[in-house]
Amino acid sequence: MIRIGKTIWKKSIEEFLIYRTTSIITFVLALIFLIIELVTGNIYYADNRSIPGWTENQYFILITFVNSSTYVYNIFFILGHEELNDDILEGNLDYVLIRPSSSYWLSAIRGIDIPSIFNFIITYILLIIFLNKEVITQFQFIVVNILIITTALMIFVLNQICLTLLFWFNGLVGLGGVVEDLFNFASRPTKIFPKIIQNIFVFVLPILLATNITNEFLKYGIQSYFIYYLILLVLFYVISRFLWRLGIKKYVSAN
Amino acid sequence: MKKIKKYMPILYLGMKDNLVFRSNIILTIILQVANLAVSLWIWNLLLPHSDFINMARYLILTNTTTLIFTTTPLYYLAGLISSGRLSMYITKPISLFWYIFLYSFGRQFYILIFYLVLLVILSNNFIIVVFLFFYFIVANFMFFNLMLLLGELSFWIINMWPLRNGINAIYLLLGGLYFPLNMLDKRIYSWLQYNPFSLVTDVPARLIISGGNTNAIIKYFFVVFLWLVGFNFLRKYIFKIGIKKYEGVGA
Repeated sequence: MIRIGKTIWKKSIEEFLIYRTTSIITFVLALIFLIIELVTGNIYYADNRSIPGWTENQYFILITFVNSSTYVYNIFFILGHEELNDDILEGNLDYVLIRPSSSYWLSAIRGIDIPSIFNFIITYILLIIFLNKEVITQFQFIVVNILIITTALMIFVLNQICLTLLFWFNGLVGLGGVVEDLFNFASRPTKIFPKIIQNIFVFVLPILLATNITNEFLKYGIQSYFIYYLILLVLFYVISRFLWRLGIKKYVSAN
Repeated sequence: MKKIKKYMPILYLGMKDNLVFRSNIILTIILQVANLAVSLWIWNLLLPHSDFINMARYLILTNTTTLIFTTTPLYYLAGLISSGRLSMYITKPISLFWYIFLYSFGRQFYILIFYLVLLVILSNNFIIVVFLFFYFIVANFMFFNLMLLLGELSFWIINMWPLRNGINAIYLLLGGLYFPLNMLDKRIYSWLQYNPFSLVTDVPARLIISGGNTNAIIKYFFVVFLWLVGFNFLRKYIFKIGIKKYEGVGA
C-alpha cells in the first residue's frame, strides 16, 4: 500500500514539473473560481443588503470552506475521476481491473494534482482569516478542519456513485460533472432555498448539509445533524462500493 | 452550391443529435435552470419586490443566452485534440472550422428559436429585436471563434478539468449570471462591459429590458466585429503553432 502511495506521489511530482504550462493554468483557473465567488459575495452584501441571519463574514466562511473541501478533493481524486470517466465510456477500464489491488481505489487515485495543493493553501489561509474574525475556540478550529476532510470525502463518494452510474447510463456524458455543479449551487446558505429543496438536499442527498455544516457547527455546536452527516457519509460510501461491484459485472471491454 | 450541399448533412446531424442524445440536453437545461433558480432565490431575499422583478427579468434573459452560446465547441475541439481523434479530421478534405460550426449550430437551433420567441414576447421595441437578430449572427461567429481558440489550449495542457472550472466561473461572472454587470465598480465596468462574454449575454439582456439608442447599438456591433476579426486571426495562428506540438496519439 505504502509503495503504491510513494509511486503515485513520485509520478505526480514529475508530471507537475514536466507539464508546467498545465500546472500554471490549472492553478490560475481554479483560483479564478474562488475569486469570483468572493466578488459575488461582496456584491450580495453591498448597499446595506444582507441575507437574514448571515453576516458577510459568515458568508465568506461558507465560500472558503466549500472551496477548501473541493480543493482537497481535487488534490487526491480529480485526476482519477477524470480518467475513470473516460475509461468507462470508452471501455478502457481493463488495466485497472486486472491489477491485484482494489479496483475501486485504484481507479479513483491515479495521481495527485499538485497545483490544487497551492489553491488549497490560499483558500485555507483565507478561511483562517475569516474564522479569526468570528473568534472561535481551539476545539472549534479542530472540528472545522475535520469537517473540511469530511466534506471532501462526501464529494468523493458522491462523484464515485455518479461515475459508477455511467456503467448503466452510457450516453449521459454530463453525469461526470453533476456533483461538481450541485456543490456550486449548494454553496449558499440553506435558508434561501424553498423548504422542500432544503429537505431533499439536507436529509436525502446531503449536499446542502455538506456545504453548510461548518456554519451550522459554529452557530449551534455538535447536535444531531452532525452525527447524521457522519452516518450518511458512511452509508453513501457503502452504497458506492456496492454499486461499483455491480457496475464491474456490467462492464463491457472495448479491447 | 456544391460546397453547401457537402456541409448540409453536418447541420442536420447537429439538429438530430439534439433529439437522439436528449438526456444530455435535458441535463444541461436542468442545470442552467437550477443556477438561475439559486440566483433568483438569493436576490429575492436581498431585494425589495419591485427591484427583484427587474433583476429576475435580467437573470432569465442572461441564463437563456447561455444555452445558446455554449462552451460545447471548446470541449469538442479539446476532446478531439487530447484523444488524438483530430488526425481523422484534418486529413479529410473538409474544413474543420465549418464542420464544428455547423454541428454546433445544429445543436443550438432549437434553443435559438425558443430565445427569439422569448425576445418577441418580452420586448416592446421592434427595432431592438431586428437589430438583435443580426447582432446574434455576428456574435455567434465571434463567440464560436473564441471557443475554438480556447479549445486549442488543449495542444499545450494535458488536463481538461481546470478549463471547465475556470471558463465556467468566468462565464458566470462576465455573463451576468449571478448579477448584472453594472453592479460592479463604475471604473471597472466601463471597460469590462466590452468583453466577449458580456457582449453575448449582458448586452442583449440590457438592450431588451431598458432599450438603447442607435449610438449604443452601433458601438456594440462594432466591438463584436472587432473581437470576431481578432479571434479569427488568433485561432488560425494558434492552430498553426499548436499542430506542431500535436502528438496525434491518445493522451
